[in-house]
Amino acid sequence: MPRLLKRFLLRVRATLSAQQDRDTRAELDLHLRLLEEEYLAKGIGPGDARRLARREFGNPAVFQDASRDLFSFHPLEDLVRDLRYAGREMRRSAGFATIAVSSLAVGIGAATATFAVTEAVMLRPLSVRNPGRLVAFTAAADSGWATWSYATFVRWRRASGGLYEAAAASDVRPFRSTRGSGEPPEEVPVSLVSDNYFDVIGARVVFGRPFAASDAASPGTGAVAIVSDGLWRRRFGGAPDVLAKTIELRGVQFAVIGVAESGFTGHSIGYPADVWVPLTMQPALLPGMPGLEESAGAEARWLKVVGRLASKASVERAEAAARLARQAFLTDKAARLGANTPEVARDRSESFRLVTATAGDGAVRAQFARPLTFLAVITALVLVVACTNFTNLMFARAEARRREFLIRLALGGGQWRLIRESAAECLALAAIAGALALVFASWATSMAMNLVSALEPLDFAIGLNARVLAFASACVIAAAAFGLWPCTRLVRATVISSVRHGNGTSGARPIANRIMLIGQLIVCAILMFGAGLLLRTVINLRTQDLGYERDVLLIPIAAERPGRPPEAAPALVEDLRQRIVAIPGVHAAGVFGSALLDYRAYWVDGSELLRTDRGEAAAGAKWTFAFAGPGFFDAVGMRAVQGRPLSEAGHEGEVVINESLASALFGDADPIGRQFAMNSKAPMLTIVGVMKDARQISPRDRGVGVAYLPIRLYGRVTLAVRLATPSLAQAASVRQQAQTILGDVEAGPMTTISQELERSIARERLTSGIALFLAVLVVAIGCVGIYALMNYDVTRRQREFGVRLTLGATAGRLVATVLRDGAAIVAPALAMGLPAELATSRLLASQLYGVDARDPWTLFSVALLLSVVTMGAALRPARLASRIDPMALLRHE
Amino acid sequence: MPRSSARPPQGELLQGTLPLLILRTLATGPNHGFAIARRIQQISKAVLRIEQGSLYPALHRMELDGVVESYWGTTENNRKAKYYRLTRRGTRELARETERWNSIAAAIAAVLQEG
Repeated sequence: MPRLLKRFLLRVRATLSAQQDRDTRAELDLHLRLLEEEYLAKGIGPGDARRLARREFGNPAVFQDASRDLFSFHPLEDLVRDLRYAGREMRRSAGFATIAVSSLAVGIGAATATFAVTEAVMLRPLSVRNPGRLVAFTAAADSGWATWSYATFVRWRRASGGLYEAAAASDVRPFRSTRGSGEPPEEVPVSLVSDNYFDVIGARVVFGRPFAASDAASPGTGAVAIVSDGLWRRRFGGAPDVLAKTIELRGVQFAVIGVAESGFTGHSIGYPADVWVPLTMQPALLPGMPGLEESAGAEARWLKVVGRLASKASVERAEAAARLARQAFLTDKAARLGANTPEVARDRSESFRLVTATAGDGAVRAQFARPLTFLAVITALVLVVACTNFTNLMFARAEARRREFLIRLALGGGQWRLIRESAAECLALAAIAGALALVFASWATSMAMNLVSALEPLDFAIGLNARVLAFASACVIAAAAFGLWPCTRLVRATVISSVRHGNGTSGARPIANRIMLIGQLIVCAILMFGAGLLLRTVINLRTQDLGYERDVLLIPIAAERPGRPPEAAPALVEDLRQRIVAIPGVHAAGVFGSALLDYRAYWVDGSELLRTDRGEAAAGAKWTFAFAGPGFFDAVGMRAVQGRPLSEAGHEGEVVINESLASALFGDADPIGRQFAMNSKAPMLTIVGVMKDARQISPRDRGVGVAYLPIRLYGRVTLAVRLATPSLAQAASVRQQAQTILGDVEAGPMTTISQELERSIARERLTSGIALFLAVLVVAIGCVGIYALMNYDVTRRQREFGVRLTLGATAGRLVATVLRDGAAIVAPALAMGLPAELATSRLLASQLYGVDARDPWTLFSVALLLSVVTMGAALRPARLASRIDPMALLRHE
Repeated sequence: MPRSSARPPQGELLQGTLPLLILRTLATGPNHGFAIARRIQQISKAVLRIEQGSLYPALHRMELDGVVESYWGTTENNRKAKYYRLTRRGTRELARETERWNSIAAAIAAVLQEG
């Protein structure tokens, strides 16, 4: 061990423990005793022996001190002492410490959580060997990688000129995989990859072996799989006999040949893969496309291509080589298909470039960039509010200790010492807040990820890694600095004022505090207004007239399946419907061929031209179509405004349209009996009825035209069941009986329209929930700030209030004075907040529904709420002012 | 810190010589503080007088400097005592300091004879 380090450690140890001290004492004691014994042996009396020994030895206390000085390590010793002092101070004013720590914890926690998500989604490099040398073969500078055909990939791989090695992989797709007996099948995310994938991307196969060229010899062969560490542990219990096992995907048994290293989940961000299989298995897993066509021509694009640069190659040189290979490929293709075919023209117009791909394929990043920026701005504001609030709290606290500071300075205490003590206290408070913030952040991120993954099958490994911890530490240090400022200020101010006034009760009015507080309240107003608008959006979406009932039971069923003739499906469905209608308590049941409130089930477009029987075209009308079977309109409670619903038999050529479509097609003219076609080639349809507009596609789709056609395909339909009297007990019994009636017919989980509505507005609920949560936090912090400042003011002006009371001011007047001071902060904050609120709410406009981004009612409510809450916070200090006892104050002086 | 008195009593050590004496004493083998003090007194025939306690701060500084190291052992009278011994660095230091002392002593002697 280096000598200096050894010496340092010796001193640190000696400082932190009392061992060194005890050792020295034992040494000195022994020496004295030995001397004494010598004298005793010479026949000198015990008292004299001790005195003589003592004379010969010198003063042991002095030597002990000298030794201690040698070993002690002053900065550390001071820090320990300051921290002990800080701990004592915190215990003495537990309320203050709790408020300061909790508000900081919230601010740091929110910022850390946002950073953790940003880090996982936006910044983190792939967990592979040397990710900086990875390149993506892509089209533009987009964060997602382009898809290419197998033929293109093969050219790139062959013609690399030794500058790179290229591997290909399909996007991650979930496949249903049956497990052993008794276990339900699970969905496993699978990626089809070229045999060199693991080698190129730089992930180790820690157990078993990576793919070999012989695994992927020809299309349709190579039923082998490498599994992720996660799947290995989850499904195979982490047992080594996994290499003797198989995994079933789409009816094919794949022999497991290896386990990938822990932490590696493929090249795609947000979509971790659990199983990798050779590309050559495409015909079995992703049938229906010419996926492995090697010659240029009618090939399918389904592969992402990733490369690893050779040791000395630059991106530019590798790109040149790849570009050349692509040119040759396109020439080849033009020769085969003809130079003027649209496909060749499109290929030629496409740009190509090689980009470094350290962070993997992040198509999902584009989607997250905006919300994360939004969140980062909000949480940064929350953090700033929390930090300024900490400053305010420390101000109030320092003020309360002014007298103590004054006395200590007067007794010759060093300024530096006072500041150091305050710094230790700030740091200790901020550090505790930081620790709590980590707990809060890990809770918040897992919560947010649960909500997000309910919307989309995304998965990120968000964790408190080194980067996140470093970020949190930086926040802690910043917060401590915010808290220290008032203390240093006060120490200096005390020095000056003690010289000037000889007492410690005056001081400058803290203008800076007020400005900070006004800023905090403006942020509060902005967040509250945004949260209010989003909340009203959710309420509007939830309570609006959907155009149909909510307490309708939905039962998705698959009427067609292997072994049953498709012609039998309509009869089967009708039989089920009749039997369900017969259940006591069921009002109506109907068949629907599309999904309700699920935008993915519809194709909405204005490009296909509708044409009427008189040859008019409804240009630009947004419209879609849905399939309605027997009893549908009645079952969901949709009302006809004209004509009649579709006949139960479902005559071909009949159609029912909604009001929006009717007005788009015919204006004010009577549409009943008129005809229209869905495009230039489609047959004419006769309109038999017009339904009231309903929120068919999404809760927001006002004014979209819908044509309801009779069901023709009964493969997958939904049975809608409406009860006579909706009640929980009734619904439960109907569900149970319906389940018995369904028997062995394959049915999805039963839901209600209310549940579908909640699912369809999950995104809005998430945003408004986060906004509301942060708004409440910031308002709480703001109130603490007001409280602290008012308290500080009252403490500072005790003398003045005492004098006024003595001169006959009533308690009520003093309360009013303090409240007026509070209002002097809240009022300008509200006034300045107004334009800020309106400016920021414009950014939200596209997300709102049924409420204007400048909604005066919400603005007013925010102002009212904010005033009530903040003035409420000022009330306690105000009452404190009214209870000042002049006599006690006088005695104190 | 050892007390400073107005006039050094007769035989008080020159500054900086105590470590050299300790090093020399320890060169014959590890020993504890009391024994080191005894040996210095015996060998110097009680000419060199030190406050025996001042040995300890000196020993501790030498330990920090890495010229001696310490361990707990038992004395011949079966008492627990802290023993000191030279490190390799200490042996080198002794040689160097001895040479330096000798040259200074010779120089001073020369000046005194000349004077």
